[in-house]
Amino acid sequence: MKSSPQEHPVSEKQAKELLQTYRPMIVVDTNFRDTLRADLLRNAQKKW
Amino acid sequence: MLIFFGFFQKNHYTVYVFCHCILFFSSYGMRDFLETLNSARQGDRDAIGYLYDMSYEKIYRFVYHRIFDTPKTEDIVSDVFFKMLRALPRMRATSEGEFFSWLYRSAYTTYIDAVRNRDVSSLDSELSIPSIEPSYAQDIDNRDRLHRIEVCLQDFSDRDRAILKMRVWDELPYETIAEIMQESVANTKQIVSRGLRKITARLEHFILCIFIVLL
Repeated sequence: MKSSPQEHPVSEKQAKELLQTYRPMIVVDTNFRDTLRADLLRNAQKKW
Repeated sequence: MLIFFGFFQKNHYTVYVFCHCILFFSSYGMRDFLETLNSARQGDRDAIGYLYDMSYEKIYRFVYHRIFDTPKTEDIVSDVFFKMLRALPRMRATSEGEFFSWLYRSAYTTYIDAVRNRDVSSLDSELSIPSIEPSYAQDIDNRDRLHRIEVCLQDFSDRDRAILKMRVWDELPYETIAEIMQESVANTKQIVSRGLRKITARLEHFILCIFIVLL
């Protein structure tokens, strides 16, 4: 017995969840973050 | 005192984090955002540091979701924060929401400029993975994941794909997305809803095919 797509509804919520599962995994490099922070604050000191 | 010393010896990292949390909340964490922004406009380094700390990871993720390349993401993120520093004295934002809208818009235009200058390959404008070799294992994994959803997003326009990613991956409010893409909020909501409906239809078709094969 064949079935129509309507009998297997996939909700928009499920579609959103599916896209979320493919969200890239990101590990933030804290060394870069801290270096950029220090550079930014050093520039702020020069600017003001 | 001895008990505290013993606790500190065993849990020095917990105590260290706890002390930092107290310092953080007592200095800027509990302060009114506008007050912090005004201090930053006048060059208060603690306030600028606070703005940076609260937004770095969000902006990093936002940029990375468009290019999947760690070194180039770092270049763009640097540009965005130095632009923020230059713009602070004349920034008209009066709330946290407006500040973030400005920052995301700046990140998006910096990314678009980098694509135009061919500094980076755009994933919003073409789904084929850029030919440059990713230099980090994380980038390779992420590009592999992107290949797997190509089938769902293949005939979306560049604009629709970008808006859908901002909503689902970056979890941005519709108002911010509308600001970034220079669209109306109503239109942005419609694009997200239409995009999800399209994906839903494809998933239904996919599930039906599996069902028929199993029969």
